[in-house]
Amino acid sequence: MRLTPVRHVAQRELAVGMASRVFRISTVILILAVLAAVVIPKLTAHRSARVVVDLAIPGHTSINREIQSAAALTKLQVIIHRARTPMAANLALRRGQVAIAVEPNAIVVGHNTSNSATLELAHTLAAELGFARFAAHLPPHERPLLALARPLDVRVLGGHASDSAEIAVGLAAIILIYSLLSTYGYRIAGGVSEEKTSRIVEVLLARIDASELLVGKVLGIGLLSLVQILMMLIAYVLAASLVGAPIPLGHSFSMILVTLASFLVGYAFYATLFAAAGALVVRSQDVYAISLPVQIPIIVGYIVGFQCLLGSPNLFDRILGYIPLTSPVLLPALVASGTFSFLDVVIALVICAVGAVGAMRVASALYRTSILWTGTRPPIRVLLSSRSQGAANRI
Amino acid sequence: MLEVRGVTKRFHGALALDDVTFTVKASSIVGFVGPNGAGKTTMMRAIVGITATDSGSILFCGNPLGNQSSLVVGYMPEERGLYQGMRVRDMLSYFCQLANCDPSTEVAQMLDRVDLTDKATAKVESLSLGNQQRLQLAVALVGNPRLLVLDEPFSGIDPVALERMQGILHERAASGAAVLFSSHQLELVEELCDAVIIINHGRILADTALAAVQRDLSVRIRYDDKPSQERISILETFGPTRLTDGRVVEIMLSDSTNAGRLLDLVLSQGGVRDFHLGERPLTETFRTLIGKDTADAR
Repeated sequence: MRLTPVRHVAQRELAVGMASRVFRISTVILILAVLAAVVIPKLTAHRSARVVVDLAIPGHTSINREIQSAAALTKLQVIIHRARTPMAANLALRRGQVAIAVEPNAIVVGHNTSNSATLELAHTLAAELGFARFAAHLPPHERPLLALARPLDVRVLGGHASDSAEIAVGLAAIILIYSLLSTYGYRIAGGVSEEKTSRIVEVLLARIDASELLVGKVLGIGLLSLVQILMMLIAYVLAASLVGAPIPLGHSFSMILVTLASFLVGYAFYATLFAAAGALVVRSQDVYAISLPVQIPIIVGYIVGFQCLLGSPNLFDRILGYIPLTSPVLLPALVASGTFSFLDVVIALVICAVGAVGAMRVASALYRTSILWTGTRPPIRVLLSSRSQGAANRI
Repeated sequence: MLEVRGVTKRFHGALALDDVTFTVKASSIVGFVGPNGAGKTTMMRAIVGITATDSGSILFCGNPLGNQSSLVVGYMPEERGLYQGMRVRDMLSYFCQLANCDPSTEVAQMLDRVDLTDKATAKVESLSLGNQQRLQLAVALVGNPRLLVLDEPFSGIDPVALERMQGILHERAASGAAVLFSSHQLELVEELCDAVIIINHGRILADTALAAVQRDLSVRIRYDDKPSQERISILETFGPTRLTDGRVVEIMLSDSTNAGRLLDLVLSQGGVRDFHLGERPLTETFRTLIGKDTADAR
């Protein structure tokens, strides 16, 4: 394969794509969605939290200082309530009357009220209390050992490890990946079918090899999608800077990386399959119907991803997370729900990348066989016997 | 320059090309003719490398065409293909890039060559069919290919555009390129070509210089009344004979030196209104060869 024709084909796809009205409109819509996602929470955010202190905690009156210190560090206004019994504290938490309960050995965050602000407060308070308790038992000459102080445990009521912010990021990630894979997949299928039905593919294949045309098209449209993602990221950073929203760091940043990696391997997996579907088209209006079988696993991943984020992921969901057909859409949801560890993500991405190589081989053989086959759809036996070398065309 | 040797191609059992062999020399224009489904398009696709052959070889200047086809061959398919949403200039620029030539100079020259300079910024979809045809030819000519393979290049264009395109092909041939084109317009083939290749059922029936084909003579005799079968039988001794419209008999002279003897005979028979002696048209050669081949196939 020669790189120069691949570059020229990719350049054309990128230029035509960026000049298209669909790209411009969809980019504007996505940027507006990003701006809304940054600005609206900022405008509606409660910068206060109610904290209940269980009276069962020995010396509870003395933890006021730590609570106020944590509130100051997190810039939150804190209202402290007293619970007469641990059960009353727990009930207030479950009802959403308070956001955080301080138990003897842990900080509990209410499931309904958990968000990044209350979680930040909970972790800060856990560190403050852990430090204070450790310090209380240290004689003055052992003060250097304070560095060994451990924070109290922080848990979310109901055992759900993720907070609502993580779920929101996960949802945004799977919606984004689903939208991008579908949009750009159909763009590839549509472009291939247009070249086939308009017969320009014959003129192109007289100049360049089918694999050069296919790779150039996939790369060009892939770059187009990255341009759109980049514009969304720039819009996010600018908007976050303007309204003073936090730029994602730590876990949220990891989610962005997982989302980007999932999209890239997903695109690599699906792009050539969509191209093969486009090459099977006899009439250009059939492109959506022919592409549907390729689209279905993406839809399945999308639905299961929602289920993972809004419910409890099960073994089946985990298995789908490793299967290349569904993992690109599902991975961010499994990470956001705390189901997949870093190692799981790496394994799933590697499996998907290997699957993408296999998909490319099969799809490019189908593409070669079908792209010059006109009048009728190639018979199944011909498709099954497709080889990557040589074109099985007909008059 | 172009040598096609023993090329065979089957499509799922059906023989599309049967041991096809011919050559196209540099600086020549060769017509590739045959009825629909004869194998012209398949052969042309094989030459440009978009259809794989089962056996045989296609050589260009003694080397397999294969990988070099993209750089030396300009191709115009039978069914026209252009990006309808693209601008004319961008379209040519894109194909210049694919042909490894500089669009900054080539595009303007090509637009001028096919008379589309004033349409440079127009979208392809806004062009008339004739102008799209010109653009399609320009796409094939991009990069000054040394071999032009044109499938029905003159179908559906007006006489002015036709003349222009003929001029371009003559120019390309004069500059050393080999031109192979297919057409059903046999009078055009006669006018434009140096040689003709006739194909039917995937087999080459004739591959000859046009001058040699036209050396044969034909006689057209119009009688006052329908000639009797006895008269026709006598005429058949001079060559293949057919009654065309009741009173007109056409004879392809097997031996052109017999023309005088035939005239004497016809005059002695009487009842003749008109006797016309002329070069045998390509149409007749084509009809004879195809008819014979079809009869043999039965």
